Amino acid sequence: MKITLVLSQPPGYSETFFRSKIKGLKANGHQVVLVTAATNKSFDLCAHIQHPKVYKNPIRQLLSMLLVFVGLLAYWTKVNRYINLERKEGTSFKRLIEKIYINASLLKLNADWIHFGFATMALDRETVPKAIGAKLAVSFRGYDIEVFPLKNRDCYQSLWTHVDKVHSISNYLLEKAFDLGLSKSVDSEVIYPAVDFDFIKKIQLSNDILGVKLKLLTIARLHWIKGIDDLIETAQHLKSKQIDFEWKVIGEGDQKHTERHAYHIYKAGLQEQVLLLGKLSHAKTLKELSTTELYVQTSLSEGFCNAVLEAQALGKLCLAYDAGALSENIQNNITGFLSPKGQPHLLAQKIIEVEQLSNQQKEQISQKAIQRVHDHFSLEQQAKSFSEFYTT
Amino acid sequence: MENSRESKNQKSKSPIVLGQKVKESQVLSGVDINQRQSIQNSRLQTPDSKTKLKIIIFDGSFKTTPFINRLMMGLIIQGQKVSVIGFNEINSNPIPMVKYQSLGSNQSKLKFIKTSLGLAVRWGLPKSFFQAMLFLVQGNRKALQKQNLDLVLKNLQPDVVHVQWPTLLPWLEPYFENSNFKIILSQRGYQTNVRPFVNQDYFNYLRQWFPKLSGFHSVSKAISIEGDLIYNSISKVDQVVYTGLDLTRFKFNIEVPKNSVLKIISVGRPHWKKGYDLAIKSMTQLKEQKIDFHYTIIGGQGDEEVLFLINDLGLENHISLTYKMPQEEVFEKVYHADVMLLPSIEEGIANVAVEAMALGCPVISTNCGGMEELITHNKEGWIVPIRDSEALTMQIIKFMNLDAEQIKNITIKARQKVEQQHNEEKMIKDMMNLYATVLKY
Repeated sequence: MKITLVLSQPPGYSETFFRSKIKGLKANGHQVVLVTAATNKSFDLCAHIQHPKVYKNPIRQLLSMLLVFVGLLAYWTKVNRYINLERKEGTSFKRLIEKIYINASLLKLNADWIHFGFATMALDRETVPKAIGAKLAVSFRGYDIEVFPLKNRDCYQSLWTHVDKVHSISNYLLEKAFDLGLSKSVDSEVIYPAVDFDFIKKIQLSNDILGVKLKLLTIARLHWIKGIDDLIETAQHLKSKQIDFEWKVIGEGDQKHTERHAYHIYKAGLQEQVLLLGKLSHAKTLKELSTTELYVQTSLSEGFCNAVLEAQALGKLCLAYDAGALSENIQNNITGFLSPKGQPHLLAQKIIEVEQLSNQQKEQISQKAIQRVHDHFSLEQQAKSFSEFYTT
Repeated sequence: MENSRESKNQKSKSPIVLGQKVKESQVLSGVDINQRQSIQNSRLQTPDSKTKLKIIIFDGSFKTTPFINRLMMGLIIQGQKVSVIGFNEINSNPIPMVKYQSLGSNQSKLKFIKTSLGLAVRWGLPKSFFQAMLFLVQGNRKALQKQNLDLVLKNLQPDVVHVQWPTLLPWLEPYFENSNFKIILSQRGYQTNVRPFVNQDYFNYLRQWFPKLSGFHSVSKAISIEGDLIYNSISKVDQVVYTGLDLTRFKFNIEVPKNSVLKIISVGRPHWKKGYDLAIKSMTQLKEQKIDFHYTIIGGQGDEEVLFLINDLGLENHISLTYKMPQEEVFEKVYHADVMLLPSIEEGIANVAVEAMALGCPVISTNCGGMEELITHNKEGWIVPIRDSEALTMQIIKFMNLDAEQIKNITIKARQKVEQQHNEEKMIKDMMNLYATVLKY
């Protein structure tokens, strides 16, 4: 199979989801091409093609369009098919010209599948796969389904019409997509994220969680959807109950969110307890994770959440808000614990309860978490599922 | 150019400053605000009616705040000469008699070149002209803007340069020691009461340059105290000048609205410091208690967090969002609302609350920033603690249980408070006193 994967940027070295997917597809004999926006970044795992650049300068843009359109002459049959499809969609002449330009790289391809890595990546490109004789697959991520349509009503109507197969990282997101108008008759499959156990084994992890203070860790971008304000409020409740703790948060944010949370911490007088560590490498993150006692996720929604999965893979006791797909990630009271979302005082109470469990109970939960991740979330399983995704 | 107000969402480049505790030894210079103010009051100068000043308002842009617009109009009426300098060219809403002087636009290269060469030819030939040409060839926009600023300051010959935002201070560093004009800074919000306390580099910068300023204007006592945490001294001139309204434009609603559904309103752009997430949580609690209400956030439309929370909490039928709308329409909506909520986490002093009180709309506010200088709990409105959605809900329920007479009693007192503390004449008089004081010392 010739599979074209469309992403915004080439996946970075630490972005294991797409990297492992590409590796797995190649290992199973598929040909993979990555298409991204114009970028200086290179990609090492497969062929990498870029969309034409959109220039602010009208003269440069006009020249670029001229070159791109000349380059498309050899692909006239596909372009003509695309024009006809877009006309049926009611696209205006001006918009059609723009769309031919932005989709020029895709229109030149020979592919069996065009797979958009995010639903938003497919916008304005919905009819391209049909025009080049390929099938359209799309993956769902949290933002695509949870947030973007709130601002852009009916944004996926065209996508729902043209999609051939859907990949979702959780049942939760798939159900949400049905609510947004995706037909249940469209072929769909849930393929969960996976954990790279080989990578974990390579890192010198310490299990030294001993110490006077209760060690808590959260891995999350500093962004409102990650519920960092709730995290800080939970910390306030813990402090008011005289719990001696240290809560590290790994992840960076834009200036606005960084100042928002730093100010909340400052006003709450929690500078000694809640530590914003910024972005760390995957290896350093895992090291921090290995020395924590409890892993906590306060997100208001999650498509799935790799960090919670990795924490369970390391046998950490996980507590999370019962939000989004987190109930598919953690089996409540079996591999970890869920707490009602948006209720910091209940989360604080849960943290104290879990901390007070006997070592035997803690060990039991920890082992079950490790076992479940091994059994259901391995890279091998993920690679097999993706290979079958295009062939069944 | 540095953004004069809050920076847009950009990746935080410097290491994250983790809500760091500003060391006590750094901030306490042993000067109490009351002590300083009593000394200051004794030195306060009242300008005589013949005093004619040249005042430059340095906002960074021509789009000055409503506060400054009203101030400028008042100063013009008094015969003062007022100029606004900024890094743009077009002004869609100029105040009559105010001179707007561009320092070179950031938006259009062509206009930037035209303005820069125009200034050099008009005021700086020949040296400045050749210097300008050199900077243009080098593509050194900042150096050219600095030259433009220098030409403008030399030629406008101001008595006072009134800087609106601390982030503009780097432009004025070469002039702090000058003897020709005084530099004063307004302390009005985020750049004074939030950012210095979460960004050590920014705090240190302000701490280095604040002592060199001739004076400060604070929009509330609360923000004056925050400013003192950065720099304080017995000789510091810091005048609280409250926002002032032309109250003839605010028709007071003597009747308490009788809406069948409780109409709650908030006004303001969606920013985390406005606390809309807490207000929305509070609405969930009202819904759970089966209270019939409708909450409108004017200016809240399009914000992802607000939209997500409304959807996630199933409040689509209870909350409406609108885009920013013209002031007259906002006043109309506020006039007919049952109650205004100000759920903010931080404010200098909220103009929207002052305006609502002038219109006769009762206000429930958090105790953020200077809000308790405007509202005494149970007297001119109601005050609840910040970040406490339950307290907000409780207060809304208590409000609903008041009869019309009790509400009217509060709104009348609120209007009186605004008339006494937030009238335009007082604002202009207090600001002129500040200008006169810095010119004297």
